[in-house]
Amino acid sequence: MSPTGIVCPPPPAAAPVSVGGVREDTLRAMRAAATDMVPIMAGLVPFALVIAAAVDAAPIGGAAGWVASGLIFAGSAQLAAITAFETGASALAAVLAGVLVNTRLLIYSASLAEPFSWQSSRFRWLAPHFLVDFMYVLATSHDDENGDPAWLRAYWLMAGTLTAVTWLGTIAIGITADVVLPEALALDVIIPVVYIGLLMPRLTSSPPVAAAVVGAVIAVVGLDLPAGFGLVAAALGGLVAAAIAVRTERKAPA
Amino acid sequence: MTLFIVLLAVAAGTYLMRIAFVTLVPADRLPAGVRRHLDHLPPAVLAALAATALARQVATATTFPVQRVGAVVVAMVVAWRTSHLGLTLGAGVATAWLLSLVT
Repeated sequence: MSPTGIVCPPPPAAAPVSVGGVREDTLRAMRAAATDMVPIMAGLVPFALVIAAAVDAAPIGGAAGWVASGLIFAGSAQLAAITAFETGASALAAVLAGVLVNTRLLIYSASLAEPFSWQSSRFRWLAPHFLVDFMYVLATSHDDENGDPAWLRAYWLMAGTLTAVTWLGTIAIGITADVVLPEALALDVIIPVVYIGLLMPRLTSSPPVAAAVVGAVIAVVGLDLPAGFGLVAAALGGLVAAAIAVRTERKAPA
Repeated sequence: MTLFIVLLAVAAGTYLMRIAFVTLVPADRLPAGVRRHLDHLPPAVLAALAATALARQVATATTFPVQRVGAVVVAMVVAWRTSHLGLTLGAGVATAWLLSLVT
């Protein structure tokens, strides 16, 4: 049973069934990705508009800024680099500011190493481009299905494509037109709520609880650290807390 | 033009970190202990992402963002009781919307 509840498909029937040339389990993976992505896409819109506004205000053409958005594919890093550059940092310092924001992707990459190792070499070179916070947490929220390389491949490509279309489409609209979202839409509330919805079902034993509590505390304490570093510290602190909890559990009498 | 080159360099650095352990360093090169502990990464990351988003909204708002905080509290309760992402999301967004009507 998937911990997310709504996206848990029944176990596959005996042999894969083909629907219009596409295997049925591939279709199920794509449908699960689409379901998971609906709230995320809505939550992405306000952030994409922030990026569009930053590109608009920066000394860079709209088309070049849009292309860069697709190549970086990480809003906070793009924003950090643009802000550093505009506030007079050297080009090298601006690059570092952007890259360092994304240090957490190294940790996600290490965590995804095993499921990705079952994929084709072409997939391993190209698909990680879609790796962002929510892609990592969504892909790791389907433990049952992740054992199936075909399932992960279809899920990842579907979710990544939907992200790209939403992200780049909204940035393009934001660059070419002045879009102001009504305050009442409160789309920025969606993504934290999705993270909570993915987190709570995982808190079934002390290691994940320790990881979550320590991760949240460090993230809040580290809020004023340069962008991205609070998350890296929280991720590492959470891992250490989980490791301690695992050891304590083992020592405790059964 | 300089900014475009800066952004291209950020893209290249970001891509290298994305593929670092997926493509460049084979998974089996990571020590077994590290690989085992990485299983606990998602809860740490999820809690940190949610806490960061909420704390940033509290820090940047001029008045205390009752809707945001209320939405997260209700979402925590619903997610804990039901483990259902759709219900959690619906309850959280509905709470934010209702609180925005009364505040």
